[in-house]
Amino acid sequence: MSPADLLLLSPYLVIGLGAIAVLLIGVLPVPGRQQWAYGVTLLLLVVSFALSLGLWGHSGSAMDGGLRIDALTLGFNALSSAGAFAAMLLARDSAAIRDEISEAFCALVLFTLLGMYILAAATDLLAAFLGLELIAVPLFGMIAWQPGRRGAIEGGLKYAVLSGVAAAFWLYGLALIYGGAGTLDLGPLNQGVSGPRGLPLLTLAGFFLLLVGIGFELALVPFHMWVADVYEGAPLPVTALLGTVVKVAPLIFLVRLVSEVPPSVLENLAQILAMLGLLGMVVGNLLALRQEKVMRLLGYSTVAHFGYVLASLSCASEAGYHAAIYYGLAYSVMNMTVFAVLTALSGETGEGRISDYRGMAGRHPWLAMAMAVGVLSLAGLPPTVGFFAKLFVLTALMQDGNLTLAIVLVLATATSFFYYLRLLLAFFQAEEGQESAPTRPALATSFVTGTSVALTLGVGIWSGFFFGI
Amino acid sequence: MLSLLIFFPIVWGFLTWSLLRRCALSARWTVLTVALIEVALCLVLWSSADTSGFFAQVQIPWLPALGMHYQLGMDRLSLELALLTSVVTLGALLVAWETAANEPAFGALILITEGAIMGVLTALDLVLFYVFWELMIVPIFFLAARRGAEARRAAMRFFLFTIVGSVLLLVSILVLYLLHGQATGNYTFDYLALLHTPLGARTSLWLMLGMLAAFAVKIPMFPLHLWAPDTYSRAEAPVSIMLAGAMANMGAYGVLRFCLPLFPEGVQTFAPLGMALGAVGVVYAGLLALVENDLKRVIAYSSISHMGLVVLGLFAWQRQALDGVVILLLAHGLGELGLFAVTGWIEARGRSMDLDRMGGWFRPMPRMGILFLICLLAGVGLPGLANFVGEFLILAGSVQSSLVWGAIATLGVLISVMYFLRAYERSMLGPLREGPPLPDLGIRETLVMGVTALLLLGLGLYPQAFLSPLGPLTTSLAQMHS
Repeated sequence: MSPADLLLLSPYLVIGLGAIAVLLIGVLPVPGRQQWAYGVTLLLLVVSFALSLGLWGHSGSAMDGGLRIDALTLGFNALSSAGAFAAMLLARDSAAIRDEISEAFCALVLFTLLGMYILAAATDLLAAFLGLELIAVPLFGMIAWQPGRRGAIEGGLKYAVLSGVAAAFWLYGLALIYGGAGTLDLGPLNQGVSGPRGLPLLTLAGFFLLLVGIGFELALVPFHMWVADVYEGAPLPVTALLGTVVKVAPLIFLVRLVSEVPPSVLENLAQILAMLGLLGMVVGNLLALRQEKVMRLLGYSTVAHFGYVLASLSCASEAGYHAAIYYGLAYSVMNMTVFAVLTALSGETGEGRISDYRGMAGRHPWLAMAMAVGVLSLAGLPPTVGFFAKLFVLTALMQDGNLTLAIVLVLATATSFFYYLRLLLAFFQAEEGQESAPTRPALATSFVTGTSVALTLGVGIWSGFFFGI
Repeated sequence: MLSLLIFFPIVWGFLTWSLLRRCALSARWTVLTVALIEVALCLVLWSSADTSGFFAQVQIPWLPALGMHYQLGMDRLSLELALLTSVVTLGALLVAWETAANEPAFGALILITEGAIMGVLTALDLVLFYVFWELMIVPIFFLAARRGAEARRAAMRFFLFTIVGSVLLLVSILVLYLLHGQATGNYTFDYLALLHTPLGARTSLWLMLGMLAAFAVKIPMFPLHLWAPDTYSRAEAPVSIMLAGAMANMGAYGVLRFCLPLFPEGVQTFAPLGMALGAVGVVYAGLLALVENDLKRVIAYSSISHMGLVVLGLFAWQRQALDGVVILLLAHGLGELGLFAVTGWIEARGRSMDLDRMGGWFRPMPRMGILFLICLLAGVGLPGLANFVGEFLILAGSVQSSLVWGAIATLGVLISVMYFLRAYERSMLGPLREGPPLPDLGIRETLVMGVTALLLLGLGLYPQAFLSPLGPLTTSLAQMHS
């Protein structure tokens, strides 16, 4: 391994070795070691973010061609470090777990981050599996953190069981692909399949199973049943992590997959993706309409958003891929805004029903404004990033001639306004008789909220800069 | 200059809300000053205006890879509507004076709406137009949903109707963009470039209908008007003034600016149906106004009825009718300002809007009685006041395109006499019922109503000031017909 390779892998090394270091800090016989662990974690995340941005422009491969480090990987590394940083800041303020941030929690976050780095860079299917499992396993623990909370063990267990099933499908798919193409590396897969010993049908079947495995992670219909329960049961910072950057890593891998897969496979895959996109848009929005609890509503809205993303991917064109990646970025930013506000308010809302948030605008006007920006961005109102993401997806769909999906997308967007507006109206309802003094949320949460709102508006209005990536 | 027109109210509205939240009294003075400056800006633009074509253009690249630019431009049509909007906003803020004392966000939201409407009027890039079109609805939604559960439901219905129309507008914009790019190789959202897109007759029709969906909801055009009566009547008076006086005109502007020039074949195919819907809307809304007992709903239906005439004029697509459309938009905006202001004063005095419980208010409130009568007569279409010019031009133009629908719409004038005089008789004339004392209009209130009445009179007696600059535009639009 040359020094250049090592330099490219530096974010990975920082996070991986850093996670172990954080765990070790936890056993130091020093008072306040939890705070040390927390601080070191934040430092590691900042370093990793800086390294990812500093390495911009370099590209190469590592792990014997299994990982490809290019602009997309580095960009995602920066995004996910920022997301994990935000989640750690939010964890400080979350009412549920603020006293329980031990070094184990910090290390779990770092391991998940490493898994995300690996999955986003993977061009070898086995490396992708490694990344996928490295994301999922720490999340089992994080979702059930502080198991005394209602729904914690249920959520953790559901996620664990379904992740296991997804992994099983994935491995079986890998086996079939290996049988059909003779290689697990995405690059030479094409030659493998069209070679003399290639079995295209077997490879195709393998890819379908692979899609099932990814479908669980991305909460595609019909593998979406876990989302609402897990979102509700996990502590808010973990849901913030799960609902933003953890979902984008499989998305990036899927984009790489679809762009490198042999054309014969791609035709069938594209149709399946279109179907999954359609189901996601319709089912996600319809199920969200009936939700009374905010976290479940956000869970189903995730399903809907990934429906839009899959529709964009099914175009199998440059525009479609760009739109899908931009949507991933937009999705992370918008959701982080919403989760940050919800965390700030988590001390005052009991069960998390929409009615519990009634009148919040009177007590926390700035948070309510941030929530309005975040929710309207999720709905797709200009000039937020959510609108531009949907605009690019719509343009890609129509350039491809796929008018059906385009019409379904716009009608689904119109439907989604209904539940997003219901949430906002509850926030902004004037409460008579309850004149408690407005309290200020903690600094860290304010920082996260403010940055997310700025990004939600900025990434939208200056989307040219981001779109060029 | 145009960017200033758009962003000055938006930024100031936001600043007022964030900085002056504790100090509602200074907040409302700030907001009022901003509205006055907007009117002044529009007058400055009027004096420096060019008769034909777009002036004061701004073009900054935004997303050049996709052909999106930050492109603004104003012509006489948008200038006249912008002037109207700034006057109506000023009026709405004066009507909201008492409410704004308790609620600093109120004035700020109205200012943000005004800025967004200016954006709609001046955007020449289709995506920028869409951005401002959607942005326009958000502050109004929050304002309209203030008064209880019924108002919230009405506001939700308003938002959802508008959004469905808007997404269809977006689809039409994108299809036009792609077709233009495929035909000429230049993928752009620039309005001036898209004017020359070769389109088949059927494509033209469908794209036109997509755009019309959004504009028809906004106008409101029968049969997409179902959101309007509830929203207008349940919202507070200043919000109804913004909705009916400023935003409703945006729908008609959209048709004039986008549907007619971009899709002439489509409009040609649709025109008979369009005129029919307009004429039917006039009569239908008028008849409904006749049986309503809530004064605000009477005014709401009268607004829908007048906009039916506007729709008739738009699809008659005839030089005089188009001139009449613009004058009627101006007159209608001012008239709605006056009428909803009256409802605002009545509510401020603690009375209900139920016509059965009103009566004999002319005696204690003669000033209001007279000014109310002037605005009412304007709505009826009395010659000498502004609406008459507009209605006459529209009807004269429409019967040249279609005698039947023009004649049916003329019935609307008759029906408007009936419902307006009924409302006036019930509220102002007759015996005075007992109740708390009714003070007459104060200085601020008289100022608002008086200036509105004077403007209506001025526009009615001297419409040439507004008609002659429009000549080139309406002539060119009419020439696109066949």
